[in-house]
This record gives sequence, C-alpha cells and structure tokens, in this order.
Amino acid sequence: MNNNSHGFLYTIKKYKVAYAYIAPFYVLFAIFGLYPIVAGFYLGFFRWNGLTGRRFIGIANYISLFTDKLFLKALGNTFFIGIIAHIPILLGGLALAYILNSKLIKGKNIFKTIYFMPMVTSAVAITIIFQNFFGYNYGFLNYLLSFLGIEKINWLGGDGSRIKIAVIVMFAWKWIGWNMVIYLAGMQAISSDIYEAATIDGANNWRMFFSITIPMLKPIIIFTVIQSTIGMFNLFTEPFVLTNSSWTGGANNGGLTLMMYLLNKAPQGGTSYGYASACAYVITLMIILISFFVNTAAKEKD
Amino acid sequence: MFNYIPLFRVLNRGIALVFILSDCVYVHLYCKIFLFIGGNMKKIMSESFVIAVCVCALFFSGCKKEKPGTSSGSAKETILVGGWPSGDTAFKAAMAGFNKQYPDIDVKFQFTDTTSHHQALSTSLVAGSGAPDVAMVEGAYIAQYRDSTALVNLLDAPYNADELKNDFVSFKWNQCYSSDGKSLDSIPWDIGPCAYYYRTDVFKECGLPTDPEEVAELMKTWDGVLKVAKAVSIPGRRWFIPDASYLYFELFINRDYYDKDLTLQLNRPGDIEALNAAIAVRKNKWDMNADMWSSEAYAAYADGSCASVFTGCWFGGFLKDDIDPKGTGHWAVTTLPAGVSGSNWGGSFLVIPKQSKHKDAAWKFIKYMLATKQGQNDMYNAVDYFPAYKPAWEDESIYAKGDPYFGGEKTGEVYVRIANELKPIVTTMMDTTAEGCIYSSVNAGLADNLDAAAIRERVRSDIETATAEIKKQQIQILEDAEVWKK
Repeated sequence: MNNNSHGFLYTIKKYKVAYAYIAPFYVLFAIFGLYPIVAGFYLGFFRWNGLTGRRFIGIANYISLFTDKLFLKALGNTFFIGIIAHIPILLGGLALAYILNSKLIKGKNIFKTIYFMPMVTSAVAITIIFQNFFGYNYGFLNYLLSFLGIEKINWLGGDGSRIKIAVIVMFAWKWIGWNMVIYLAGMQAISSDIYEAATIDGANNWRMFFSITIPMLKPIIIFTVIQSTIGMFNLFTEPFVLTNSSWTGGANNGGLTLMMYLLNKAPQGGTSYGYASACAYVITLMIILISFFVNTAAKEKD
Repeated sequence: MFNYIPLFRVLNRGIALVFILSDCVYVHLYCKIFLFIGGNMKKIMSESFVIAVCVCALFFSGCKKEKPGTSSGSAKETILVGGWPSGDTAFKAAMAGFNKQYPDIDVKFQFTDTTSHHQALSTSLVAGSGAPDVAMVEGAYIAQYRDSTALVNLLDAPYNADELKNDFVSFKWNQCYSSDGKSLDSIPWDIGPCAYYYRTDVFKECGLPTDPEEVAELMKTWDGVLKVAKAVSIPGRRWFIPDASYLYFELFINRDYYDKDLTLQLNRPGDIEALNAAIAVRKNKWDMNADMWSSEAYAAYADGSCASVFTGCWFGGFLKDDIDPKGTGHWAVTTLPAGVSGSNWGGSFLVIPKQSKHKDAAWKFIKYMLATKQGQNDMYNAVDYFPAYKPAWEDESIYAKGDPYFGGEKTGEVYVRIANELKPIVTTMMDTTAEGCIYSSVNAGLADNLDAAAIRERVRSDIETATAEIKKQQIQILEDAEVWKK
C-alpha cells in the first residue's frame, strides 16, 4: 500500500480537497439514490409487510407478477394511454412552439405561461375539474353533446372503455405545455442564418419547418419523448381520482395503470413491500429499455 | 452499541436544510424566468438570498417547537398526538376535561390527511424514531398494525387494558388483538353503525311515508325497496340512490369479506335478490350511475336529486358540515333496508408506539379520551364519531335527544339500537381492495347485461385476482404468528 501508491485510498488522500468539494452530491446520492436502488432490488426477493418478519422467496415475486392478469392489463392500459397521448403531445407541442416562435403572435409570454400552467398545477385539483367535465349526469361534455342530440355518455363508468379517453385528454393536456416550452427554447437556439440562407434559396415556410426546424430539434424531441414516457409510467393521480380512489381502475379495470397497480400492493393499498419492489424494478427496466430504443432508433437514421 | 438515531436526525435536518435553501433559490429563479418578470441577475440572487434566510429562520424556529417535553424549568410533560383532520377537532373539544384531570400533561397535535398520516406512521415505526406518542389508526388499516412489534402491548402492566374489555363493543375490541391473541396494541375509538339516510321532502312529495319506523317497515323486503325506488325516481332528473351496485354492497358494508381460513364469503342470504334489484334499478334508470363519493353525487344529495344513500353513521357529520349544511329538516335516518342488520362501516383506533418516551402520559390520554363517558361524548358532540365505549351511550341528555338537523329525530337512539346488534367479523388486509372490486365489478357486469349469478361470479373472480398477492402476505403474517393451520 505505501510503496505501490496507486490504491483507492491514496487517490482520495492525494486529491482530498477536490473530493471534499464533490462529496455533498455523492453523499446525498448515496443516501437518497443508491441506497433505495440497492435496497429495492434486494427487497424484491422477499415477502415483507414492512413491520414484521421478512421471508426470502427467490424470484417468486417476479413469477407471480408476470402471471398476474391485472399486471398485464395495467401494462396494456398504460401503453395504450401513453402511445395514443403522444400523438397530440408531440404534434401539439411542436405546433404551439412554432406559432409562438413566429412573429405572428402578440403577448407571447402570457400564452407561454398559460400553456405551461397544467404542468405546475396540482394533479388532484386538475382531476377534480376533469371529473366534473366528464361527469355522467351533470358533466359539461355531456351537456355540450346534448345540443348535438347525442345521448348522455358514461365517460368514467359504463364498461370501462371510455375512461381511457378522459385519462388521455388529461395526460396530453398536461404534457403539451411542457413540450412546447422545451421546443420553443430549442427553436430559438437555431441560428437565423440558416433560415435566411434557405429563404434566399427560395424555400417556403413548410419546407423550412420540415428540413431545418425538425432535424435541428431532433435531440430535443428525443429528450421530450423520453421525459413523457417516464411520465406515462408514473401516471397515477389522474386515473385514481377519476375512479374515486378505487384501486381497481373502474369497471373492467379500464383505468388501471402500472403505477396504480404498484401502489395498490404497497404502501397505499396493501403492505406487500417485496412484491411492490419487484414491480418497481420491472417498470424501471422498461423505462431504461424504451429510452435505449428511442435513442438507438434516432441514431440509426442519422 | 452506538446509538445512530440522533445522528440520523441531525443529518436528516441538515439535508432538509440544504434542499430548502436550494429550492428557494431555484423556485425564485424559475418564477423570474417563467413569469418573465425580468430584472438583472444580481438582484435576483440577492432576493433569493433574503428569501432563503427568512425560510431558514422559520425552519429553525419550527425545530424548537417540535421537541416535546424539553423545555426547562417546567414540570409539565408534553405528548404529541398524530392523526387526520376532524380527529383534532374532536380532541380539542375534549381537552378542557382532560386538562382539568391531568394539569401536568400538555398535548400537542400533529395532523395531516389520512393517507399521509399512515405512511408517515409506518415509516417512523420501521425507522424507530419520529412517531407521535399517540397515533390514530383507521379501521381499514388495523389488520396491518395489530401484529406490529413496534407498538406497545397494552395488555401488559401498567396498562392492563384487559380491564376495559367489557366496556367496549366486543367485535371492535376483538379486532385489536394480534393474530396470535397474545398482545393488543390499539384501543377502539369509534364505530360506524350503518343506516339508511333519505330525503324526507322527496319522500313526502312522492306520497311515501316519512316516519323512520314506517320507512323501515315499507323497505323491509327487496320488493319494498323497488317500490320506493320507482316512486321517487324521475329518470334523468331524480334518482333513488347514487349507484345500483350499492344495493349489493349493502350486504358487504360490514367488511366481512373473509372467514377465519381467508376464504372469500360471497354467497350469502339475499345476494341474488340484491343483484336482481340492482339490475332492475339500473334498467329503469333509477340510479345516478355515479360513485357515492363523487362530486356529482354530493351535488345531488344537496339539491334533492338523489333521494337516499346507505352508509355509516359518520355520514351525519358529513351532511351537516360539508355536503348539505343548509339541509336542516330535509333528512332522516332509519335502519338499513331489506333486512340487513347489525352492520358497521369503519371506525378508528389509538395506539402508542414503543419508541415513545412518554408512554404513561400517552396511556392517560387514551384512557381519558376513549374510556370515559365525558371524553367520548365531548368528541361525539363535536364530530359525530360514535363511541365504541358502551357506557357513553347511557348519557340520555345526548343519545335520547332529538337532532334538529334530522327534523328532531332521535338519531342517537337509532345508532345505539344498530350498535347493539353488531356482528363480529374477520378483518384482513384484503378488505379495502375487495371493497373497491364490488363497485367496479358489479358495474362492469351491469354494463354487459349479465344475470345475477354471473355478476356474482365476476365479482368473485375479480376479487380473487386483485387480492392474490396481498392474501399471500396476510397468510405469511398468520404463519409467523403460528395461527395458520393449512
């Protein structure tokens, strides 16, 4: 150790001032990041109610997870809601950002603030508004439809197929503003020289949008897709409040999302902490895989 | 061994402080950037600094208050009581009597919403520090806490809780025992005898009787229930109940889903009739087709569009304070229809964590609040939590008194009558999930036009699927307690 002075401890000692400077992050990360990650993985192999004894059961949690009909249903629902919702999120975000970036609009700051509001408003408050909007007997939407001669539609109940529409609308409504702000920042970073050159070459606005704006924004678009995909896996409050705190996600589990499924096992519905940890690990793995695929797919095209 | 807990506490506080400081700066910066107020960077930073300092000052002044019982020069003992709102209103209403009897005990309250409270409680029990000296536990959670080793066993001396056994509603008391029956770590506070709440103005308008006895007599059978449903309903404008599935749920309102062997008890007398009634109500559009806790239903109770609802007696407090404060004289209470009797919905408990340093004072508090007539009745008057402590019901000035909100009806007598009939049940961790399934599965069955037997099978398979994992957990707890036979 003293002679061969390239040990780990030696390095730390040698650069102790530098390590002291970066220590706060690593200490915080170890406590709030690393420890839960490792402990969660470890817990996934146990059955434990959080208070009394825990029992090692190997990969039984993972086996019952993948054979559980409800988990597969929740997975399907989450993907359905996420994929459909991404259409308005991407297109709407881009369109809004383009409009705000053009010189046609006055009072841009007001619009930016309005579009961004859903992202920072409490999800519970939003959901209660939407619950009234999609209500069966007194809902605003059904009231509007009655003018068109359409009979009342049970959006949140019925056979459970239409609650997804409500969740998609809320999900998209929330994320459009977020994407818009990021796209707008990206658009403003694109040098106006490129546009000027294109104008001189005789390109029209559409051409410039598809051949300059979109390609230049590509890394930013990928970033937002990954962000909203994580948002999709974390979807909980909206369907939970829309179904009046029912853990089943309404009739035929129509509104059951992965995060609702997980929290029903622990800590909010039951106390199966081991099972919930296993479930959380599967979800994390999916997020990593999807992010990886989105990144690779984007690189291949270049 | 080295005691790490104080170290963690300090560390925790330090980390929290760092976060708060950085949050102040960030939030301020974000506000500036996103709200586009403008201003130069130097000014923003100095403003952030001022805000951060103010928050720090608040934070540290908060720290001082948090520590109970450390103020020097005073012989007073301070205990911290934790729970969810309306519980604090209840305790505060009974504090005058408590202070008189125990002038040396100071009580501080720490209240938050029900879910957060239980999360914080279970976390601090696992961590070994941070729990209040007395904590509330809601009825649906009792199966999770009664086997906890982190709570004081109240059967031991000096508590000797067994002396109180006969004063409490026996089925509620029995829920408090651990699975092996050797310890008891909670004391029941209140029960929720279930009753039928109906709008007398609507019943009168439709030519139905309004007297509670007569209404109960009329609705003794499912035929009678359907007769009333038909009479009060105007499809699309006025409805009998919030949702047809509650006619079936009424049979399970007691939360007696499982027996001792954790077998689901779905087949029970009258279930097919109840489901047939639900089918008829849905077909004729006599129900709102909405959850009884939805904002739609709340609005409909208040303006008379929804004529009635089956629920626990704490609903009386909901009506008076929240749903229909102006509805004095519009509502009445009677026993549940169709011969369902002796049902209870919910009710809370109090526990003492082992980590508490003021266990004796905590026990005095629990004993005064829950096991004296005055404590329980002061709280009942304040928030309508119906006492699980039976001697409290003897107070005629409260329980034989007419309630002006319910048109002078002696509601206390109705509740006492139901409470005397309550049946024992097996409480499990699966109960809340099963409860959610009944509503959604019956509704799914009704939407698919299934018949009564098919709906029942659907409810069964849905509950079995949704509770599979939680049931394994429950079995493990019973095995650990050595009371599981299979």
